[in-house]
Amino acid sequence: MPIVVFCLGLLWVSPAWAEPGSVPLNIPAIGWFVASVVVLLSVMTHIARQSREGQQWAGAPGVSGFRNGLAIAGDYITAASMLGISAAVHGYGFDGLVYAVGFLTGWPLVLFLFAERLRNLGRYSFADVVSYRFSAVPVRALAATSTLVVVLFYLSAQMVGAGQLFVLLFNLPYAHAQLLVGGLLILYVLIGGMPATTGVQVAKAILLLGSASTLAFLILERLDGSLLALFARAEHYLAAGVGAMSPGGFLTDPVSVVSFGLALMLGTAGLPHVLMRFLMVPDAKEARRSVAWATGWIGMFYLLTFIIGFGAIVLVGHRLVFANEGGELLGGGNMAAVHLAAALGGDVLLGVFAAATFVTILAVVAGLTLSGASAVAHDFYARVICRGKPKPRAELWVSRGTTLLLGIAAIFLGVLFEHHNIAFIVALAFGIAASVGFPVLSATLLWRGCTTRGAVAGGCVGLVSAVVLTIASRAIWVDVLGFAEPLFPYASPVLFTVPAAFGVLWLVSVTDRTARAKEECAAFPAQEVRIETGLGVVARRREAKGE
Amino acid sequence: MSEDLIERMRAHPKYARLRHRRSAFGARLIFLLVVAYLGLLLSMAFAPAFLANSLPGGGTVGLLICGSIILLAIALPVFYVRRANREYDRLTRDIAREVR
Repeated sequence: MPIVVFCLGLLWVSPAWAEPGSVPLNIPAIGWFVASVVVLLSVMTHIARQSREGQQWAGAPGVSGFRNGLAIAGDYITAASMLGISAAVHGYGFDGLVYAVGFLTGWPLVLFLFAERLRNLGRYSFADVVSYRFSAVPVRALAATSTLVVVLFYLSAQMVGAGQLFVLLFNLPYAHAQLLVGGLLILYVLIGGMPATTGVQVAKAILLLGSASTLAFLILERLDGSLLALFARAEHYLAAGVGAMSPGGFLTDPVSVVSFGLALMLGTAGLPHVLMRFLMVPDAKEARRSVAWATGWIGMFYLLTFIIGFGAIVLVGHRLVFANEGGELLGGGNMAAVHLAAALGGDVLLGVFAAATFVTILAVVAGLTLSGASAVAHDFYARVICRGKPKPRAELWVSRGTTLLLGIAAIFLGVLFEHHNIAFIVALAFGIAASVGFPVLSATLLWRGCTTRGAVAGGCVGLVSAVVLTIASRAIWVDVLGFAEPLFPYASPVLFTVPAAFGVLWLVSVTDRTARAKEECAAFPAQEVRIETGLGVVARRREAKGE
Repeated sequence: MSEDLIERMRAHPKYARLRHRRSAFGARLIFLLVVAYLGLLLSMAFAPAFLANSLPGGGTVGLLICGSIILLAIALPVFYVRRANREYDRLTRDIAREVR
């Protein structure tokens, strides 16, 4: 059983590679950690086996809005959010809250613009939606590429979190921890240990919400139940020079603030695994309900992170129990919430909380690699390269190969991103998703004049400019690659790349005078009726031709 | 669905109403949310001192605004779902029935 493999790996780790002369291993905490991981993994695996859908894509009897809402929430809030946001608040005070607010606002936007329309259309991956009206081959190539890039950043954020967790628990040097945990995670996914079914996402949501609520409750209990007392003490404790309550922590100029904020809001619509969630509900009505519920759960979670973040400032701070002389937290900057668990509940809570975090990271890694692997195997290999006729087992092997390569790339990036806040890395992923997914999706669904060329051109411009500018920004150019000054001075490229993508999309579409383009514009009314009402099956001549 | 059927659906007055209502309502809610969120972002950018002001009970203006936007983001979908479930589904059913 995969769990056995996994635990053997864990137990092998502890004595073998501990740095000599460092802080002694916290055996009780490790014990609680391993035990909790075993329990949680067993429960999740059991749930996964019970879920009926597996890899079914059509004909699923339909999950209720409530349940799917919880699943969406579970899919969306990663342990990276919990660790990253609380660490950002711990380190920067107020600016950390922007993550929470920004990540949440993407969901109402998805509801008002896309949820019903996508469910009515009946297509659930970015590539499928856009190729409804447009030529599939170039669109799928674009979709696969952008999915891969977004997934890669998102994955590396999870890897950094897991790596720092292992550094904290097992006293390994960071690179070793990263290799080990990354290897374990990918191996677990490859042997099929955690299918990303609705049931698993629901379990994940409950686990995360439960952990966050527990921490928040304990914090307030420690401070005699007063929220305001918490804020007052946080204000008092935060390191001099950065007020706990005033902006300016890491977003230092107006353009960065707005650009970064927009990335958080617009990125949600462009996330590959988000759209897939709409597959699960039977109709538009339940699709709406599920997004409303999801927004509620996610919002509740983020309100809890406010408390956790400030709790970390007050109860963890930079005390020597949790940090080294330089003021850095043991394990890494992202470990604020884990130290908080230790502060609130000793070794027991530390081990259990670390386990909950770890298992949710595992589930996220499984889901993300699935999206990435299916983008390459299904969208790219089967439809583009093989023109719809792949050799029988080849698709599976491409999928496995992609998972392995993605894993290796993510581990590599995880090592590079060691000192970054993981919510920030996710925000980078959001920036790329916002630059491709949002413009192309909006134009495809809502604008008659959009054509294949326009969508692909706009999407490519969005993707390339977002990636280039992200690499050229401080986070990578200076902090990772070591140059002195960033080429792109702002925290996020979205303020520039999204208008650029829309602009190019519009320009190429209106100047597109081919016969094909006219056909595509003429197909808009049929698509519109379909997305507005969900009625009927439009004759899809192109699909009959095998595109 | 034939082209003819599609045209007849689009010509139906209830279709126009459905489309218009959905877009207009959605646009209004998006506008509200974006204005609130941009307000926060622009305040952070240009008036950080305003956000740092302490409130009488404890906490700051900025904290209150963040909390309010989160509550707004949770509340707006509830309004939307209520209205949509009542009106849009009814209109869609009517259109399906009346256009044959």
